Amino acid sequence: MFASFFKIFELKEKDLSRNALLRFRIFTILAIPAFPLITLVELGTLSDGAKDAVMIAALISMVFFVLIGLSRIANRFWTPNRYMDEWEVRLKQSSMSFAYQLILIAVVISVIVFISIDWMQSEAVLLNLKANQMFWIFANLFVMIIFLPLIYVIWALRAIDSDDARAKGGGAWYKKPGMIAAALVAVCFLSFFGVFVADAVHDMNYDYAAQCESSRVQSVTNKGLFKVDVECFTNEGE
Amino acid sequence: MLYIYNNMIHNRVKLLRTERGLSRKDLADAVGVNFQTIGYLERGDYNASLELAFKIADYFELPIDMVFSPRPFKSMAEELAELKAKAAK
Repeated sequence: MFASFFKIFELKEKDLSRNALLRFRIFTILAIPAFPLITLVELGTLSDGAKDAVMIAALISMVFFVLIGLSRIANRFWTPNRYMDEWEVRLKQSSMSFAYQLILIAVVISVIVFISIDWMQSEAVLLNLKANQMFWIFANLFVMIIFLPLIYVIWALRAIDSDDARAKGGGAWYKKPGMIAAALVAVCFLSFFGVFVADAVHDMNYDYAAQCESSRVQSVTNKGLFKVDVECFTNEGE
Repeated sequence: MLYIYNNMIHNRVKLLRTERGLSRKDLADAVGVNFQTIGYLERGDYNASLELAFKIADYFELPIDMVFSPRPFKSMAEELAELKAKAAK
């Protein structure tokens, strides 16, 4: 029963044609920003005007995300190994190994960035993250864990019919598809992470400023890259 | 002589398949894999498992080293020339 069910998602020749892979590569570029953009909107970092534009962009991006999710290539990932042939199993394993490496690198970079900020702020940003910020970090991590193997497969595969294209002098960009995939993810991750860190630091400084709520006068001075000095005065000039 | 392996196993699958007028799908069905496995195998993007290598060699009724080799295969013309030279000796 299961064999016939999984046969529905068996790869066809057209799924691995040059045009199909090119189409999916464009879809991945358009789909990668979906969750980071939604996160930015949900974190309330953006102004009201920018929020609407970013949300529309996120929804458009999400359409491509869904299109990739419904493709036969994506559906091979949850097919049990016994219903796949040896090439598919090998491809699944190498794509998951690629995703693991990238996530590990991302985690190391994140920890270094947070520690550096802590050092500049002399406060632990990582320990001061709010519940919604933690939720969105894990949501993005979860999506990336699912999405990265797919990006690898779509970018690392050479189309079955690409030999003909290369013979005609095209297809040179196929040489380093893994690097292109990694670069795509890195650019998206770094831009998202930069905004996220700025938001986390801004929130933390805002919390310090809120400590002065009971006081009548507040003085907030920017000092250095992230450091904000908050001074509270009472009527007595304390 | 010690041969330095570079993770690449050369094969004559495409030559043998086209010689017999088979499509990738025909060969794939005969040896129990998907068409793309044969495609990537022919192109050298994938090294077959030992089991698949034996199945393919059996299908073509050839010894496995005539179909798969860690060294690049010589062209038929070169091999024929070598055979002639051996016979002459």
